[in-house]
Amino acid sequence: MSEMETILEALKEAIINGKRKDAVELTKKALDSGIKPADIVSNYMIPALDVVGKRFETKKIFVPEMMISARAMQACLDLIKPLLAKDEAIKMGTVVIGTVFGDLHDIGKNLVVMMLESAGFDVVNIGENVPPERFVEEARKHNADIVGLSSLLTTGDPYVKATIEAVKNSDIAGKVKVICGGAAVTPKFVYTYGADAYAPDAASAVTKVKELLRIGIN
Amino acid sequence: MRYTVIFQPSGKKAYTDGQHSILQISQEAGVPIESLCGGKGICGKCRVVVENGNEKLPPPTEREIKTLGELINRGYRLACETIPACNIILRVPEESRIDRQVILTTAKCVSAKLDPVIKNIYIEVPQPTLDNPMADSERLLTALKGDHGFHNILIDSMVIRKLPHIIREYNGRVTVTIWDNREILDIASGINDNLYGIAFDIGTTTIVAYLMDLLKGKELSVKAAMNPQVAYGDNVVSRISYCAENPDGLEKLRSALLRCMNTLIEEVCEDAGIKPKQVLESTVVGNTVMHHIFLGLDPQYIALAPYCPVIQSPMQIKARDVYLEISPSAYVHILPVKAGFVGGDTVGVIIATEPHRRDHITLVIDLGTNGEIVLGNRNRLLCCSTAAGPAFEGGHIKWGMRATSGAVESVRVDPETLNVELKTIDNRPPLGICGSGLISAVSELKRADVIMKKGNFNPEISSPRLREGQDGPEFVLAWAKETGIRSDLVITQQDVAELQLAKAAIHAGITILMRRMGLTSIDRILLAGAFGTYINPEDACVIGLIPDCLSANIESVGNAAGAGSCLALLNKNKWKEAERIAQKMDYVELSADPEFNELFVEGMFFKSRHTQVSTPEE
Repeated sequence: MSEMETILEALKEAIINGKRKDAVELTKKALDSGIKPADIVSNYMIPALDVVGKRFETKKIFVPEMMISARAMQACLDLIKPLLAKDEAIKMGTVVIGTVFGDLHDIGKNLVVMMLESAGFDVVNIGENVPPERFVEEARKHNADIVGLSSLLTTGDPYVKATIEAVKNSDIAGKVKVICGGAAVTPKFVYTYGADAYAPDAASAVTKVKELLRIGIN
Repeated sequence: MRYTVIFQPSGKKAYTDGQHSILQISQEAGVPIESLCGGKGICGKCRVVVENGNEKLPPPTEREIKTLGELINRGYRLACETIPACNIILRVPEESRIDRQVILTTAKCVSAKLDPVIKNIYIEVPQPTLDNPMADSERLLTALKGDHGFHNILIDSMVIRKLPHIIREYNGRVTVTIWDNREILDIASGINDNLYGIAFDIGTTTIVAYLMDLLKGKELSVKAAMNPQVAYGDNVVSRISYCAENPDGLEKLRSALLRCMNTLIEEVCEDAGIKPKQVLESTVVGNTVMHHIFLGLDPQYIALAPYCPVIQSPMQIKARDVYLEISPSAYVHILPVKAGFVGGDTVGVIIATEPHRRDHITLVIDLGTNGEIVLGNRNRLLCCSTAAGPAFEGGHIKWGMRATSGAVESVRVDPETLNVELKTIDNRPPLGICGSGLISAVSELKRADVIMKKGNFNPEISSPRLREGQDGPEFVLAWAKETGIRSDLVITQQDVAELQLAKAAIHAGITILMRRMGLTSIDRILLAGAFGTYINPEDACVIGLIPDCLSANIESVGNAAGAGSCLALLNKNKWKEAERIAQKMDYVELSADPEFNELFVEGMFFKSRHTQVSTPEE
């Protein structure tokens, strides 16, 4: 293994283990020695997050560890992003995501943002307490492929419904898929209202979005 | 069609039309069954065993299969998911029953001058004559004005009804009870030297009533009960949902609460040998949602951003208007709330612990499903509320339970042998683990290096106690033969994760308040709540719940909210103080703070001591 490969493998390990300081240092080293930023992201960082996601799905790790890893990944991405040339950017798809009207919770949604960004998606985080029409406007504006909505309060159920309906009754209905998640959302409930997917957690959100966009499916 | 449902072991019988879940039937029948999620099929706490009629029930739902696993073969079902349309006999297993809680009722009160809002005044009312046939009520008021200088006094209508008899009993010698120098609430013939009041603390889980002698300033009786609304959901948000989703939801929750409060009134009065009608004043503190439900106010807007309560100011309401069965003429004083998730209980905690009267900095943490945090001194007070989740109260924990008989409350782990010593409430064989037990266990496992910095179990440890379970890695606290549950009592990796999320929320809340105040150290830390009474401060430090702990003086203050309610009953100036505090204190909305996420992730680590605030990096 070359010295460079050792550094990159160590970077991957650092992200998996959530060691932010180490991950940032290793990213700097890799960039200094001239490795293409896009290569670092797609060959080491995204696979690292895939490992984290798998471990989460198989109950090897739980939310705290996943968040710790995602935070390390985010710190590295912050370094790399400005360096990515336009044509180098990985085009996976655009996700517009927010917490439904009446709800200010952001932790779970932001974790999904981190995981999706880490997986290479363009993510537009439109924040919390978002009225249904704004989901539609922002999705149109950013030419989104996916609208993601989060609801943590059972009292937000009417707004989950209203948001799904707003998207499905709009001009972008055929183009945009809707995915829902959050403590207050159950799969049955969402499918009844016509959402395209439900994700119980941040790791499966990435899998589901990929499925919706038929990425990695032959 | 009508079917019979029998609940064992109580033998209570109920009827159903085949349209309702077992949980709904049990609530109507007054059979308390645990339900943390409010009947949404999520928490798996409402498990019941079908003893007869299982074959006629609809097959288990997907959620039941997921939550119950192999227990289904042993007749287990989730009460909230199963809708019986047949005659059945059920057993409510011990872990699903709601029991009375062990609650610390002696609150550490700061001393206060005895100056209640009601007073007894003895007067001699002149007899009417043919020359001056002034009506009873006017003669009474004239005498009060002449002897005591009271002007513009009102008389409660109920008092006027008994006035003619009492005023004639001893030739016009009467004792009146006057509220706030404004209104006569009661009248007795001759000299009456009784004056009683009841202070309430309405918690999401627990309700406490304190009967006080307002002449002597003495606590006569204290009784506590489980909040019966627990049957409708374990936390304030599920209670709000219940109100929002059911047309008569608010009324059901309100009347359940009132039944419980009125039973407590009877109990404390019986204990002290007085009649409930002799109680002429009451104070109430409660979190904003309990406050709203008590007053019959719709709480649903509290759950929606920007989390606005219906009313913030203190209120004085006649007992009869809120159906509190003390003297119908009595006033109930409701302490002010600060915000949607910082209620009168927090205001009560402040008047009892008085951080606003000191120069040095106090941090008060009122731990529960919502952790309210207050920080500051006489110059400034900040408060916030963090959704810590139910982990501190045993919720979302595999073998979690409330602090009732049989709950593990503290744990010792030998770092060499990993042998475990458990202490349970009432020294019974362990049935589950309550919040302080969980903190104690995690703290000990951290000390024994079984739990690592990120919260994961140490993969290098080889012990039969550390094993791969159905839900990931788990640590065995007690083997099945040592427990009262016929199953190994374990702490799972998921349980540790729940505690990490809870303590991270508190940690982030404390850190944000400290940064807003520009502080790096704290002089005094107070842990309040029934939880704060049982928790070992050192364990709280080890898991990183409390920042910079060794430099500060940490105290458990017990049920400070209840103490605040008592103080407001004993001294009317405390009302004014409570009102000023609620107005002056600054509320910090954590979900709007840009630093919260980062601090939240940081708070999930288990760090060494002294480093909680000063070094934010891993």
